[in-house]
Amino acid sequence: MYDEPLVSSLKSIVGSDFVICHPDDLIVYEYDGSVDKAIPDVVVLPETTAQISSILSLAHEKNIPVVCRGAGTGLSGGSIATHGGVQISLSRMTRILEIDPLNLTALVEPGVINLDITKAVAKHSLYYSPDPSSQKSCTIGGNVAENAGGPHCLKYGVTTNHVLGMEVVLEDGKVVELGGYPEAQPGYDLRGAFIGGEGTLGIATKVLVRLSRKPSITRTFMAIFADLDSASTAVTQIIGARIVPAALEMIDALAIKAIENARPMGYPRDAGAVLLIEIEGLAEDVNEESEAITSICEELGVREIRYSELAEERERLWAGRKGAFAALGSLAPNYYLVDGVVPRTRLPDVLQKIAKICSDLDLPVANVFHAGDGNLHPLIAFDERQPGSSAKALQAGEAILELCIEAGGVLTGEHGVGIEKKEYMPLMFTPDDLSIMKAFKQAFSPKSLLNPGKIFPDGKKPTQKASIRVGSFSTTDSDVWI
Amino acid sequence: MMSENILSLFQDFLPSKVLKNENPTKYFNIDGITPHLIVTPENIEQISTVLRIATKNNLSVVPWGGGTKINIGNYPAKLDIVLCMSEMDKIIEMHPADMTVRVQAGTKMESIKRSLIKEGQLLPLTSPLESRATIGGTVSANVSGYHNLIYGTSRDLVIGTKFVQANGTVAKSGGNVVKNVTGYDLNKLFIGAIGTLGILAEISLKVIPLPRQMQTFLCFFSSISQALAADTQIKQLGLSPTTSFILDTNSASHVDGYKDLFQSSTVLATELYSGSSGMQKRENEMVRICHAETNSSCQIVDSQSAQSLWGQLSNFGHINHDDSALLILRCGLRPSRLKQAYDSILAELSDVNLPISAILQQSLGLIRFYVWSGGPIPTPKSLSSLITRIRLVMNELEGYTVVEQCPAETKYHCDVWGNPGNSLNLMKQVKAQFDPSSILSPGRFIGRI
Ligand SMILES: Cc1cc2nc3c(=O)[nH]c(=O)nc-3n(C[C@H](O)[C@H](O)[C@H](O)COP(=O)(O)OP(=O)(O)OC[C@H]3O[C@@H](n4cnc5c(N)ncnc54)[C@H](O)[C@@H]3O)c2cc1C
Repeated sequence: MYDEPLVSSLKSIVGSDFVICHPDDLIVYEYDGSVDKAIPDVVVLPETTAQISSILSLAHEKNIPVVCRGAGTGLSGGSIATHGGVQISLSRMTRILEIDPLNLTALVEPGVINLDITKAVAKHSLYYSPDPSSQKSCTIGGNVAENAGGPHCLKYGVTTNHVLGMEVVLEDGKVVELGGYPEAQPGYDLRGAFIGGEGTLGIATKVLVRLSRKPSITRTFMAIFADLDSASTAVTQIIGARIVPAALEMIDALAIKAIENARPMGYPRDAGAVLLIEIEGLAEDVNEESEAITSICEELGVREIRYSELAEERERLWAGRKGAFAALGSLAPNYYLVDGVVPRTRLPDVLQKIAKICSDLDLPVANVFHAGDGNLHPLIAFDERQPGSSAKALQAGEAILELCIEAGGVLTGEHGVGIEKKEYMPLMFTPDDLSIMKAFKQAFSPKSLLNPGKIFPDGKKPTQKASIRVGSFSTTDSDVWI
Repeated sequence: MMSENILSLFQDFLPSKVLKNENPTKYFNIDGITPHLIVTPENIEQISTVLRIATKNNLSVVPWGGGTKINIGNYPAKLDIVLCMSEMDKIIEMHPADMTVRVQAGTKMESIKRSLIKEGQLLPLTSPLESRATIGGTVSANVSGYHNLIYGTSRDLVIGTKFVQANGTVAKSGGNVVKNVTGYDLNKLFIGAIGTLGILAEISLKVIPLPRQMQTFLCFFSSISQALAADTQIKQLGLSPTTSFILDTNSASHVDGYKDLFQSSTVLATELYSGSSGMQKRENEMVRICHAETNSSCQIVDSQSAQSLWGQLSNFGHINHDDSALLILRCGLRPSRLKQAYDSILAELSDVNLPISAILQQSLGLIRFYVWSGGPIPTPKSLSSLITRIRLVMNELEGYTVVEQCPAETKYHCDVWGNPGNSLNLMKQVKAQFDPSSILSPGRFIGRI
């Protein structure tokens, strides 16, 4: 709905070049990496906190919903303007404001790309630790909103463990600072509760991140197993041996085949699973852990184990894992990527059941996931041109999530609830649990204008029509991985 | 309301053994204020009943774990009921292979740790007096102890909570797995909230494997700057310290068993962890670093003495300690400004004419200042004006100052939490949503929340 007075007020705030309202131009803002889509009424591209504050005060006064958008790589529909209204794109707020190598912090604007922080601080031998696989494109603001994780979060933790504070604009345009440096600031940890708020609590306009020192040695192992059970046992035994690897990633049989079909890595086609294990630290410790890892894998009858600490070779060992997502395109033209968590020890059992759910529905399912923390990413492949197949994919997804909850797990480990999983929230939470979450939201956003239609069940399941937009491999390049 | 009347409100709903309106030794007191009723619930339903009735009758409730940190915070605006968690002390489930544990909030730290050690695991939080301190109190006071350089604090370790809201409703947040973004992370709100948002009934925690080796090193320097420089090197070289404390020269006389050893040096105490073979390398590096800084050597402490040392340091000057400080200030700021803050604040403190010492934790950006008795005790007013002056210095340095311990009367002259910044209003709104009639620990939190 085109609202002339609104558009002209927005233009007076950010300048007319930075307000988009022509339907043709709005199309690119209707989707993210997930299932759903919706077109905002108007998109604004502010450059400063003050402009965002003015936009929000205006929307507040007129009761217009506001959704903010980072890079749009979200996988649960977080940045989709389900209720129309104003979408704030942060693509112009990409400055790194301060790097403080002495105190190991950086202050950045929310539109800064995750990997750009690491690039900017590399000269000090520092890096920003949380590394979502989308780190070449996703923004730090989106990471804060989703509490993003990544392969190396096993040892070092997710976004909330590395973001010290932020400047936030609230629904009514007020600007507040949450958290800060150093930690344990007096008061409630609103910083911690804001992270993972999926854009419903406020807009982060500055983010203070903690930087980490590069370890002296990083060694990557690639271990090929004949079956998934031995690989899963290896995961449990490595951790049981008091080793917490920096990353512990698994590729299952179907994904291995897909990789070998698309971009051969030299994996045996009949392999049951590939494990990637990365350890870091002082040479002495790394050597000791290497021995332990090797002997665990050997005792479990590993077919082949390779390792390296040279950057180039490590990159090659990771290549299969990183290329898996693109390779899976050979299975079918569309995919539905599910994100659930189970206690690590339940992995073998749960993976078997996932296979059963999907084979009963005649859908191929591949698993490439963060085994160390039990975070599953079953990728259900299907062809949307076949009638009823997208509905079947969604049905399988739902069954998988129910399975995760049954196994003592949760609905999402890193992709967020968004639109995708809001109707499943009652699987995990009682009405009382949800009420207190809503009450918390009220404190931040009494009018619920920020990113409405997310997180909380409202009876609207993702429709089959919407699911037509279930990810399509044609849009993924080989650089993209999950 | 009279004590008997309050008791009678609960008698029909709770077994008499969980209700007590006597407090003969005044053991249950907060800043000298005593409650009318002490309730010791045995299950979550009873907590819920207590809160439901309390809300209906506008009675204030303060949860009590082991009481070891009960005196942090402002003085209570009102204290009707102490809700003692000592009967909620069971480990509900342990999943060693998943490295998680779920416990009732009244479980003693010691008992959790004892069970974990059998599995080769560790809960890397340390509170003073672990035989008394409970996990609920430790989390609510955000006490992290000394392992936090590597393993973090409660914020990094608490993965789920079940809590009772002021109106008696039971709710939960998070789960029992180590990675989870389902719904808002309300767990974080309870950490450090000293019981102002709800009563924690159950807590799920992530635990860690026991490090293969830990070694405590003591290094002796002639100045704070040297110790800070050495500390920086230890981190830069990746020697993986789990903790590191710098004790200034005046601290030595308060560390039992180390008085002679420490004498008049500035001491850097650090614990490094490693695999079985990496410790020798660390030892060599430590010797080299100390030698380069001061031409002196460093000393390794055997593991039993180390336990006692770390126990003392994480409990330093604490009220339950024989040698307790009159005033403890926690100052937080950027590590690079630590030295400047140390010098300026010592100058301010010298006015009180009492013994003063300080402990610095560089990587955490913390300095704790201790004022010890040993002369005429300043009046509450003069202590509070001293605190105000220190806060001015800290404001200049963009840091904060929390009064962790002080004579109760001083609390009537200052807010122990200091300047809450521009998010106070938001904090008040959160409080209003969780506890609209403000019956939970009223007045004790920041901004008198
Ligand atoms: C191929 C692929 C791989 C992925 N791998 C991972 C992975 O390994 N780990 C992982 O955790 N995620 C992963 N993701 C998901 C996604 O990249 C993350 O959720 C990321 O954090 C989203 O960032 P974004 O900038 O794209 O945010 P968007 O998608 O634009 O927005 C996501 C949410 O954040 C909100 N938001 C954005 N900026 C702000 C702000 N400044 N203040 C408040 N709210 C804001 C939006 O309103 C929305 O609700 C992957 C996605 C893809 C496509």
